[in-house]
Amino acid sequence: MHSTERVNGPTRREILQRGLAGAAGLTLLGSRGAPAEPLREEPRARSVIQIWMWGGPCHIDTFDPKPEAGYDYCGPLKKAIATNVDGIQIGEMLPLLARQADKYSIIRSMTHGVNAHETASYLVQTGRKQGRVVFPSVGAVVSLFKGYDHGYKGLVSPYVVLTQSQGRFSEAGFLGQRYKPFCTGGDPNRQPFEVEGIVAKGLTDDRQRRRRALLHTLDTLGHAMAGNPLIVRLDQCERNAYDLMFGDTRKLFDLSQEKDELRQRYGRNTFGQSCLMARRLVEAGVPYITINYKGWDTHKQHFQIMNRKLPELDRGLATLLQDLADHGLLDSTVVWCSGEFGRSPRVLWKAPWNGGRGHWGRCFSAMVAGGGFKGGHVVGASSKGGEEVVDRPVSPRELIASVYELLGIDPEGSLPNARGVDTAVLPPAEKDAPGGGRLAEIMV
Amino acid sequence: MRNPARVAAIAAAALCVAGAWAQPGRPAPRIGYVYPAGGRRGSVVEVLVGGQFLRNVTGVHVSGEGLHAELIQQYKPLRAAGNERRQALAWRLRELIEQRWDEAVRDGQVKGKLPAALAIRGARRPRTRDKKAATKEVKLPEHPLLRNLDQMNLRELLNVRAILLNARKYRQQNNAIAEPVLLRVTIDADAPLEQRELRLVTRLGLTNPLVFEVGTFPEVHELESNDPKIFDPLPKAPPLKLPVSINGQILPGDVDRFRFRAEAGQHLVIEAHARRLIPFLADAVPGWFQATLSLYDARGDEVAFADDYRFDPDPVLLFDVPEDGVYDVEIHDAIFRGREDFVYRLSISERPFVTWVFPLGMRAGYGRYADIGGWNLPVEKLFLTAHRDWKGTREKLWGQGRRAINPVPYTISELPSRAEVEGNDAIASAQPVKFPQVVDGRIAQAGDVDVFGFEGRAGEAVVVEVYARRLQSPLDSVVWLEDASRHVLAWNDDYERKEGFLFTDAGVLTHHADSYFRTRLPADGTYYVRLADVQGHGGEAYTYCVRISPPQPDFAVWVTPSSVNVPAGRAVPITLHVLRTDGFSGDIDVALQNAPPGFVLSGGRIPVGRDRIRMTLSAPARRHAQPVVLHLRANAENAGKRVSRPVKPADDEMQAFLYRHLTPAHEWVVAVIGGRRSAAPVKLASEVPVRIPLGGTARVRFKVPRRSIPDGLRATLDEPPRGVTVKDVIAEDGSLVLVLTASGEDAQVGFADNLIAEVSGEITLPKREGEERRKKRRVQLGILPAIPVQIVPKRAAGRSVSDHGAGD
Repeated sequence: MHSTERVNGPTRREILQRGLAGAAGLTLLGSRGAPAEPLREEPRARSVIQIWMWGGPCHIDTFDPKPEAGYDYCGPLKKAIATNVDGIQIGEMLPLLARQADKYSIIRSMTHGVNAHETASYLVQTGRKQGRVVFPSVGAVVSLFKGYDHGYKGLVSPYVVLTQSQGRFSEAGFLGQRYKPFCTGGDPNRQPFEVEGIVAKGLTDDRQRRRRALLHTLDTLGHAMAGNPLIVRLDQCERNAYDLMFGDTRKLFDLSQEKDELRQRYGRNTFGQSCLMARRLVEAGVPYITINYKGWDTHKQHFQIMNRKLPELDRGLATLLQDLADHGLLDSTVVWCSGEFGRSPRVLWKAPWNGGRGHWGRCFSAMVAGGGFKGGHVVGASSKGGEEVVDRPVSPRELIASVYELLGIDPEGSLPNARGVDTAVLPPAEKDAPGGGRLAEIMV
Repeated sequence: MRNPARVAAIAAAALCVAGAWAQPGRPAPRIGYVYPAGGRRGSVVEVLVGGQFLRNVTGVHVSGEGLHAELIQQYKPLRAAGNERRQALAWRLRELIEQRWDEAVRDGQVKGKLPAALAIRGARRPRTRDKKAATKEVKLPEHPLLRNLDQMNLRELLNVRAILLNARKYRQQNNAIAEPVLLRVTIDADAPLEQRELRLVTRLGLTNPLVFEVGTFPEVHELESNDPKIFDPLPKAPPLKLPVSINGQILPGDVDRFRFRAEAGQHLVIEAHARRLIPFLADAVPGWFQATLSLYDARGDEVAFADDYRFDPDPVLLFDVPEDGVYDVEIHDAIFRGREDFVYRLSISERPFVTWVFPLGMRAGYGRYADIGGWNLPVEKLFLTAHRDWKGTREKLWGQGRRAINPVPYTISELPSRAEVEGNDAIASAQPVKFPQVVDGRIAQAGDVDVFGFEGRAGEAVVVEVYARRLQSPLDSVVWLEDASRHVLAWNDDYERKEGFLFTDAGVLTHHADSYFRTRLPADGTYYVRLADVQGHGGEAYTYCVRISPPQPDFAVWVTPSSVNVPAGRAVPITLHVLRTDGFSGDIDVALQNAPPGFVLSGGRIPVGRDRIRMTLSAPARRHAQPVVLHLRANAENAGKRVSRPVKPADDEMQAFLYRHLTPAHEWVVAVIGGRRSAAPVKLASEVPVRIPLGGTARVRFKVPRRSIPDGLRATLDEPPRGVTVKDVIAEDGSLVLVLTASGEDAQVGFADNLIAEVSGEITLPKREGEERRKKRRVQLGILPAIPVQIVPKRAAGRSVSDHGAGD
């Protein structure tokens, strides 16, 4: 991306405005819609790290291997490896995650049947099928219930996306601009991590400070009207902005403060360092972090891409789980890893795909860990070739409802909206849904 | 490192043991574009084909009469040439362009130094790093565009630069079209003006077909850069003379512009053929080259624009020339994509162009004249032939040479037909029609509604079906059935026949706008069919043909793929797709028709309830030197009559990563590949269908002629029905026996299908030095002939379960 291009999402100014509004108790939606539902007491989870594998990762090359299905399904990735939990096997290119299987559960029966990126992403990010009304994504809902309106004091947005925007799939829908995520931009694997609005690209700190001094010298209006409430507020905004740029917030995004050995363990690549950044954000109390992990839409050259990406995923995610555990954060942090769908289990060998995989919404996998999710379990099962769900189908709604419940958000609660219509956080669970529409079997 | 002798020994062992029924996995040869995608009658054209797995091209198969194609040369992909050779190309082009520029300056064609925009910056004189090479000179890559490089003029050199150097920077590597093959196509002077299909014949078999058109206008080929926004200091080429057919390819961001001279009063038809050459691109969104046409006058003002023609993505401009002068026509992709397979043919002429026909329907045995409208038409009526045994859609071709009209589609049915009488806009003024009846009508103006009344009886089944969009009418129909009290009994806007993401109604339409419904009448009385354009449009061209009748059960069958490659003496799966109409539900038997000896179709029954089934085609033991065009026929009992329909070839093509279409092909072509002679095919020796008892097993026997059967046999079923598995594979008395099971939990009694089974076995490798024992290796032995199976209740299996009776 060109350096001058603006990353989608709120600007520093917008973040500051939100922070101030939150501090002042100005809940925008509260003034125009129904009040938000009260939070449940003592939720298990305080934060969520969502690893969004944009494009749709292949379930049988990752968490649902099918070594018996043969070359037409597995291609060269024909082995499954044992994990540290008896009876659970995962893909051969995830050896580090295999050693962490006691920390996470695998859902092998995710299904929605939608094979288009846009509609499937909307479904997995909102728990709803598309309609006339655009609903907020999970991150925006968490931002509503766990953010500034409910005691969150951080200067960083309660909903952060590392690093590039997911576009409208991380949108706040009808909740509005206030609940949109802050997209960091930049690359955490580079020094400095040029976070949008916090670390200016190509500008030294000294020069930035001199610019501020010059601005103050030229600020005749500010001098003349010192004490005016508007000017006072403007000054407060400026101080907050510079706190972001030179204060604790800046330090938060400064990954050079981490040990080199740990950074290496995460993997010196954008994804690995994003995982490390996510842990730091969790430490800072940010309730919802999405790592927008692109590159899984492997219509062509699937196995070549897997050879690059799976070791990256393995290293980054396995280290994240261990690091969260080492910091005592895993019990209070949900880690959720999935894409909008899986990929066609049967390899498309013919041209123009030449060994690619298509979209597959009928059956795919998700991984969940921490924050009240048990480790070492498998939910559901897929068919011999991974094409169909054969046991315990799980909808995106169920997964999202479980995450909400662990965060203390009532899935049946109301979402405030300008239309004045009673709108539930999630659509009602289907009748006879196992676990009452939640993943009860893997929730503590 | 591999030992070549050992590899050879393994191969020999595999061949020896597996014999003729071995069918190793082979890459399928495929072509992605043909450029130019057409030529003029009576000419010889050099044609570039791009594809994959095209090594060892041995010939060309072209459908239809009057066209002959031969291989000139095939090339490696340009990227395989390596950096040194590509650098050599850049350097040689730089030298030649500078040289030609100097010559042009001397001739007074241009002035000054070579403009920076034409220079090839960064080109360095290449030096080979091969120390053993006799010379330091590096050879140029081999590519069709680089033949006669030294004889090219400046514009031709810039064309090479634009295609091979500039455009490559913005292109994604695409293996599927990377291998170029150059052909020579000779078009007879009397070659029929029809679309042809061109397939390459390779050692690996036939490729898929692509379209090649035969035209009558002089042909020109574009030379890059003909983009008005790109600096071009060269003298402008003289305007093209009309009529003309222009051939081009759109590369990423490419815009092609052509100048021609026209006279006031000319009625120009400017047609782009793009999507009709390559209907679907699997890896592009939109899933085809979406061409746009713009026309500019001498002042540079845009005077006409089209990005489609009605519902057809290929644009047509019908332009009345207002004044003498030069005009520029411009073509590009709607969102400025491009690739070698974004091929177009753009014709500018005063050809006759039919825009509407009335009536669209004919009764079998009663051909008649139809009115036609359009541009430059030499006649006002066309005779549409309708033989007694014709049914379905036909195309009328009329006129010779430049007077030839565009093909006119119409439909033929066995029912009596009559014309609509205007003034039938409401129930009160409904036009009475008989039941059954076909009515030819027209939504004459925007907002028009046509209403037809008929007498029906309680319990009677009624089908209402509109033919319009399928016959190139712009009408987007919607149809209602109402009773006398205006109560709507049934209605339909669009009728799509789809199975998952596969459109099962063969064709290239993506908006299935024609309406269809089937219902049952609740009582005796008068009923009204109300028909309109759902978008509220109307006009002379909005013609239709509507069938109001009891159900007329029928079927159509397609076979995919249209190019089949069968190793000699072996079997490959093919897929049969059935379109059942008006509730036809019977069995359909498919058989080869007049096939040469040795070809065998296995699993030739499409059972009740199945709309898609796979069969296998086995080839004779002897390889055929040339591909063979085979024909399949589908027969069924329909209302007590034996009905026979041809099985039409098609290809299952993907559109934009997701949707799939059965794209019709002209011929079903089979190549028998492999060694000159092989052993006879494996034959199914059991009675069929093999009846598998639910919860039990059945045995099915194959006769394996004249060869040893290896140890360690395994069989895998490809896409088996739920619950059906292979329990065991046994070699027994020179036969191969598969033991099939049907799980009581998953399988369904009554379900019938063809099983496609692939068998593998173990061969013993030659002993290596130091090895104590000879190692074994698993090899694929091939696909068995399709096994028709039926799941039956356990008790009903009886003695006819298989040749050896029921198992457990």
